[in-house]
Amino acid sequence: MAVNDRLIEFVREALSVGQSREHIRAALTEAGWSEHEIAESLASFATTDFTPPVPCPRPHLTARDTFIYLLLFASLGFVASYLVTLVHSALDLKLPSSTDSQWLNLYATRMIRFSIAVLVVSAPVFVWMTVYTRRQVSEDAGRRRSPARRWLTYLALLVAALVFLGDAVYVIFSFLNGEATTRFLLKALTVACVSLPIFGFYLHDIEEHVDER
Amino acid sequence: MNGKLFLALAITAVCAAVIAGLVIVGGPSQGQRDQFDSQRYEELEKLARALLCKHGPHFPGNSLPRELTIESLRVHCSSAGIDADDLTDDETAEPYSYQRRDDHDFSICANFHDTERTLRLNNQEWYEGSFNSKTGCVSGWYR
Repeated sequence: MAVNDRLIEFVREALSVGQSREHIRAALTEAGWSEHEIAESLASFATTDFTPPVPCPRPHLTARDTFIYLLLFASLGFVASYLVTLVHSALDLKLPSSTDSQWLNLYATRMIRFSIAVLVVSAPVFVWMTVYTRRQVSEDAGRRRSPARRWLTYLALLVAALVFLGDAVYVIFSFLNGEATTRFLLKALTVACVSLPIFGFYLHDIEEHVDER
Repeated sequence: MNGKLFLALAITAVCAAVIAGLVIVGGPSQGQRDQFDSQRYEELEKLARALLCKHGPHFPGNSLPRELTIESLRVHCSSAGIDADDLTDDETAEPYSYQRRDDHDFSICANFHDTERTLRLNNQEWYEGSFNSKTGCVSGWYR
């Protein structure tokens, strides 16, 4: 049995025999449990006089949620990365440089076609999955607690933040190296314009339900 | 950021990028023309290399073949690795036009949809032969 499960079991038994929350808190503090652990274990049960103690809903991982959110975030990854690839390839064709490889035209042309194919398939999936999950979350508060949703949202936030920070570092590095051409700056701007709204949207989404654990 | 605004932004950005991409590279018919032109370009390069035969036997007094056929090319340059398909245009099934000006000077031509675009989209490193993007011909001088 995990430590937190032992703690929750203790709290459940203490509440069952009529101990007050203050007494339980004092006993646990004396035993060395942290304030956060005590608060979380007490919050696992509703504050009613009903016995046995009524458990509060807890998040649980389901295969269905994992599938839905993995598909949603995978499609987001495809849309974001191929949107950037398409714009970068278009910039390669429209703003050629004398240092370009002789294969760049062919590569960029093929990448534009491939990116269009990926976007045509993945963008509707992303939009549909986003609408579907948001509707489910608004209709059923229990779905907001999905660990798959929470973890993958934080993962998307991390990736978006790292991409944006990496982009900023690369712009400064290139500027200092004297390589900040118009094409390069437009490419960097594209990365920022894709990563920032994604970060903003999912940050807002997480903060909107931050107290619903 | 609001969910509806985010989705509206995402849909607008993807639609704009897809339309811009199609305008820049062209649709399926342009893709097919590019493929036929690339095939012509590769085959002209292959035929020019076979006629120049840099890696084959060189005998004094050797000259270019009188006609561009699979048999004459195999005699002229056994190491060329030419197939019968390489002698004809894949789109029109017409043979490429071969002009033998003298024993050493030749040009082979194809009808490209867009030679400038073909040149941009393909390897531009011609060796002994040179490709003329205005005429769609490759010419060379066999030593």
